[in-house]
Amino acid sequence: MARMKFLCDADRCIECNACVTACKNENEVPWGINRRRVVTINDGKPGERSVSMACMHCTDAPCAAVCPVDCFYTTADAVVLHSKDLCIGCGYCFYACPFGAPQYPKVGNFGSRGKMDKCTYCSGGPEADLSPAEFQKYGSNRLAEGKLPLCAEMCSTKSLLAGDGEIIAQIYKERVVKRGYGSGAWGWQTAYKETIAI
Amino acid sequence: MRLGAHLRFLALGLLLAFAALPAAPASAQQVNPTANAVKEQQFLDALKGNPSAELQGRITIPDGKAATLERPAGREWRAFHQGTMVRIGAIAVIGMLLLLTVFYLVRGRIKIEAGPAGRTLTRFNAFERFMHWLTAACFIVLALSGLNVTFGKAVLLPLIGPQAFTNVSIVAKWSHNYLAWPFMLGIALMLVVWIKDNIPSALDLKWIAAGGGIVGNKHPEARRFNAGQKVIFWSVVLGGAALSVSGVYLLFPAFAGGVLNLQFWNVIHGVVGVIMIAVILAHIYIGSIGMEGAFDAMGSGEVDLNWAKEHHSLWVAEEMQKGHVPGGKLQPAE
Amino acid sequence: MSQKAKETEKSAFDRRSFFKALGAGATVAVAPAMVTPAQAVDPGKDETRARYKESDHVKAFYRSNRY
Repeated sequence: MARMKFLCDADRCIECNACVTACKNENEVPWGINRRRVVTINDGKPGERSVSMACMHCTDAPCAAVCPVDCFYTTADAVVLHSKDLCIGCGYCFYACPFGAPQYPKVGNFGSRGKMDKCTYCSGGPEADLSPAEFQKYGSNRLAEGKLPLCAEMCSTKSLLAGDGEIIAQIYKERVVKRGYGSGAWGWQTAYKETIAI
Repeated sequence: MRLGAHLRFLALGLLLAFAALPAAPASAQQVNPTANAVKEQQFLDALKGNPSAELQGRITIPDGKAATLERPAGREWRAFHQGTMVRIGAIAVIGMLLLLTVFYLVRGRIKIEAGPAGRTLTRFNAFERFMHWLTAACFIVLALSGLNVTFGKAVLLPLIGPQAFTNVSIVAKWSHNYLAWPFMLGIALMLVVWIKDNIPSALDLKWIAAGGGIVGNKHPEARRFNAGQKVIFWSVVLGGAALSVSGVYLLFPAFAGGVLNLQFWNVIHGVVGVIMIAVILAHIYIGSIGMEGAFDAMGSGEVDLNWAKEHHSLWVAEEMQKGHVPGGKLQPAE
Repeated sequence: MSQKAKETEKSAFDRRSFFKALGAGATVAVAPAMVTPAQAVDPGKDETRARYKESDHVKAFYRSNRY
């Protein structure tokens, strides 16, 4: 069975932030929340690299483990989703997440920050596929439409890869071999306890 | 603790820049564009030395916190919260309940040996009882809603189902967040009103040496509060302070200075919380079924004279001298 | 920069080393089995069913990424 992953080829990312914008638009993400973001490491220094990061849909996800109400579930595609009907907005997933993915729609204390929101790998939530209720709470469900997350699909430099982990790892390997360098599969060790050996 | 300092320390990831590694081999004619590029492996190496290392960069969106690319330290917190915390909590709460049950079976209810005198004197006035019950009522709700966070999904969730459990947990969360404030007020009031009677003294050592009258049958003398009660007082004041400080940070994450600090305060809050619950369980036991006549002190505020003589002989003597004991001048106890 | 980082490292040492020690203690004291695993896939439920299909659309994505 295919295991969905994200892979940002930092040697191709030009920090255009189009993935960030595409995600916000495709999923009608609430104000103040960025499900995806681009972080530039060593900005302005020789060898700087930009990495596009969102929820990595971890294997044995820490957010799901610490949730006091067990509102998370992992799909057969290995996508980590959650139910906003069950979420109590306590913030524990936010403490546990290695990638800063969980966010809350309201500023303020944890008594009133609202339901957690994070990247859904463009595959909605527990509501019926492609229903208005699903879209309103979680955004689009491109996986159910036979597509991949929009951030990756529209990446202009083909830096951000999404899809079956084995296939995108193979694509990345081929790139590294061909061009002779690569800065690594950012976050893979932390999220999937594996890296891409080249 | 300097919050600014913490924030800057979190920027450790940036140091990676100074540990540039030799690049992958490239052919001699080619210019290698990645000769000193930052590599993920550098961060992974830094993590081995410091599991709390964070990888930070620069970001162009307004949310500055999003500049942290990776923070694997959450794994340690998760291991704590799902393992150690569950274990400490279970040992503290279930262990204390077992201990009290065994104690009750062995020792039974501690009776007023001389029997009730029928005459009473005032132990706690209305205001003292108000602040005690304010704190106590808040604490019971705070304790139950707090335990729900750690044990609810194992204990309650299978019983009532996901949606009902979420509804309960939301009410619990709101109660926890709002009752924290009257609880803190109660702690502060108790500190101010009772501290003068809770300064440790040499008498406490004698009381402890005599087993507090709990183990044997003799009653060591005590002033208004004996050593056992002083332990409860200081546990409540210090534990309450720790819970207050950590709780306020957890409630207002913007002031805590980052997720690593929130993890730290969460650990403090959880551990101190379950210890406090264990201490208070013992306190509830001895103040109710554990000892005849004890509940009246916080119930009506009027305690039986013989109870007072047995447990707080020096206090009764003081009260008699002040003429606070109804029924005329009695011989001081002993 | 490196000097500044060193200084701040020192000031944060107490709390940091406490949590590190605690984390290490937790990892040692707690057998991995004690750590509640994240909820496993329950294929019986409709919401956890696989949605990914290697459609032509997805194949085109993979192909264009090989360039």
